[in-house]
Amino acid sequence: MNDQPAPLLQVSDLSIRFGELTAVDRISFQIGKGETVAVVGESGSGKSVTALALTRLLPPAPACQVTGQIQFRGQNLAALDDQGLRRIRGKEIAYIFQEPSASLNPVFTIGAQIAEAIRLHRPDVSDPAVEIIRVLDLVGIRDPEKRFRSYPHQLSGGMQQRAMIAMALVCQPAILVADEPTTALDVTIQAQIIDLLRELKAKLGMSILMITHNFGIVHGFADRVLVMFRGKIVEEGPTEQVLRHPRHPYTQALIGCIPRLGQKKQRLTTIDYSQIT
Amino acid sequence: MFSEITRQQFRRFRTIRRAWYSFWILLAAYVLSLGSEQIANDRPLLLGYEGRWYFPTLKFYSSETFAGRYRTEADYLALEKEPSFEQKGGWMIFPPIKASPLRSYLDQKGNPPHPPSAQHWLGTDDSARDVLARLLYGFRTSMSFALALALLGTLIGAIIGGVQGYIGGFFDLTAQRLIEIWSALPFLYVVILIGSIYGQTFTVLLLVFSLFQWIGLSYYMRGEFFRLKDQTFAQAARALGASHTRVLFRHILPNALNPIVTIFPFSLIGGISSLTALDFLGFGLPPPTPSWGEMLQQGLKYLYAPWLALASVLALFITLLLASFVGEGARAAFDPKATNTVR
Repeated sequence: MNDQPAPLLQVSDLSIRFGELTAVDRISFQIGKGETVAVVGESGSGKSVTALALTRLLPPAPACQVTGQIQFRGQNLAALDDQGLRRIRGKEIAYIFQEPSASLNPVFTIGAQIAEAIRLHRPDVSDPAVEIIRVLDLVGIRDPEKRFRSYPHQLSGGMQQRAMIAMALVCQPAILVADEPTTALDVTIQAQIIDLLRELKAKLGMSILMITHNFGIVHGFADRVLVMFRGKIVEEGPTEQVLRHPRHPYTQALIGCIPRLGQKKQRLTTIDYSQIT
Repeated sequence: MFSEITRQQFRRFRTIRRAWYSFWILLAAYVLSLGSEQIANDRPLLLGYEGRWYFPTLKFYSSETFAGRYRTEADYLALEKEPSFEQKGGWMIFPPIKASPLRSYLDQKGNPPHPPSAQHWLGTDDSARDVLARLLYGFRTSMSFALALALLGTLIGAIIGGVQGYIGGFFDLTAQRLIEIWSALPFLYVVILIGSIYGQTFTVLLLVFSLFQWIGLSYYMRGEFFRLKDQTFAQAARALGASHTRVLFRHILPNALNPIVTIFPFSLIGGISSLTALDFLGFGLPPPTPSWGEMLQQGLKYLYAPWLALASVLALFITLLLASFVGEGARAAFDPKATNTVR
């Protein structure tokens, strides 16, 4: 290993435009092997489209224009054709989305959907059923032999998200992109899912790109934080540093919004945008 | 393959008694009509002659087999009356309706069309052919035609509408305008034109009809795909590395089955009535094919022979009514808005 190993994913000068609107404006960042990076920002700050742009999941031009470079293991994903991208999607860069109940296809069983991921990317697996039960067990789904045959609507939200994670993990991706994986879940389940992701990361050594608007789950989970505001990265740094000493006024405002336990009864803080430039 | 919701919809379809029974009556009638040769025929089901058994409804036997003079197929009705046949121990068991739809029974009193009698329960038409036999064979033709047409139309409509909705944008708008132009073509003239060039066979008519049949369904499928392609599960499938074709047909299509199931019975009705209409006008299947439209036309021509019009109108009415009941039930059972209501 070199002293300074090349990052797994290197994004440079990425811009995303929808017609007149610039959703993401020349951002650059990188993700190292085994690193957890959190992208934090409010709705419309461009964090979700950034995640989708990594494997070009956005609508094609002219509806949406993506420029810039996305280097994954020395390969520019922005220049890859559809077939090449399909080999990256799921296999190398896997996604989990915000709404687990909508991300699972309602007409197929959990097992069938995980089997599809295996079919697409894991020709080495001879017995998919065994592998599916193994990953379902890995993500903490009890009774995997039974859940295997369950339809999405028969599972709770937390279980559905676990199934989604299982689907993403079965291909052993290098990077897991988690687009607000806990937003649609209630607070106790949120904590369980975050714990699960942390545990899996330690076990499997993959990188995670976590997209969230919630500073609460960043702490103790992410190694590094990117703060996005109006399509730009306004602050970047190790989690502890950003949380303790936010420099950009937007970051300060965002952290100020987190309600604390034992806080005096008062109006919740909101962001005064006129103060931020 | 089927989700819980779909199974629930099928269960609900079963609780709609009228639709459920209509479905089975129609299905049973069609299955029976597939064996029309065993139900209405001028050949016997079973024939014994000189100690051997013959199955004339299934196999060709020349007249020579039964000591006749010719190599052509034996005329069993004449053979039955032959004294020498009986002397050699010959016997026959005929199907319940002892008449073929193509044979003219001119050995009766009076001129055709003959009124109903013990021999011809619904009388005969203007060529002295048995009405009941023609009705039965005509049912098979109509249903087969309508079923094939509905299947073909569903296939084309689902693919075109689905691709339109999935791709969207400029492609969709262009395709939509082209479809509008296409649907404005005068259908009857196209059928007459193509029929006169290639002949009015079952296949040609089927293909021409299906050129127009798919349009209605494609609108619905387009809408469904528009809605479903932006659902997260479609995006999740893309993010998993599935190709567009795979997302389109494997992930979205099973979620868009509602319009297909609900429209199918109504396409069936459309198919039966269009073929009948075309036959009525004389541009349908060529004579002497047994057909309800042709019989309707005769009924109009020979108003003094009401059994012609009555038989064909009633048969058409009952068939269409049953299919409508099925369609109505399917529509109620598969209505997505009714999924959570308690019945």
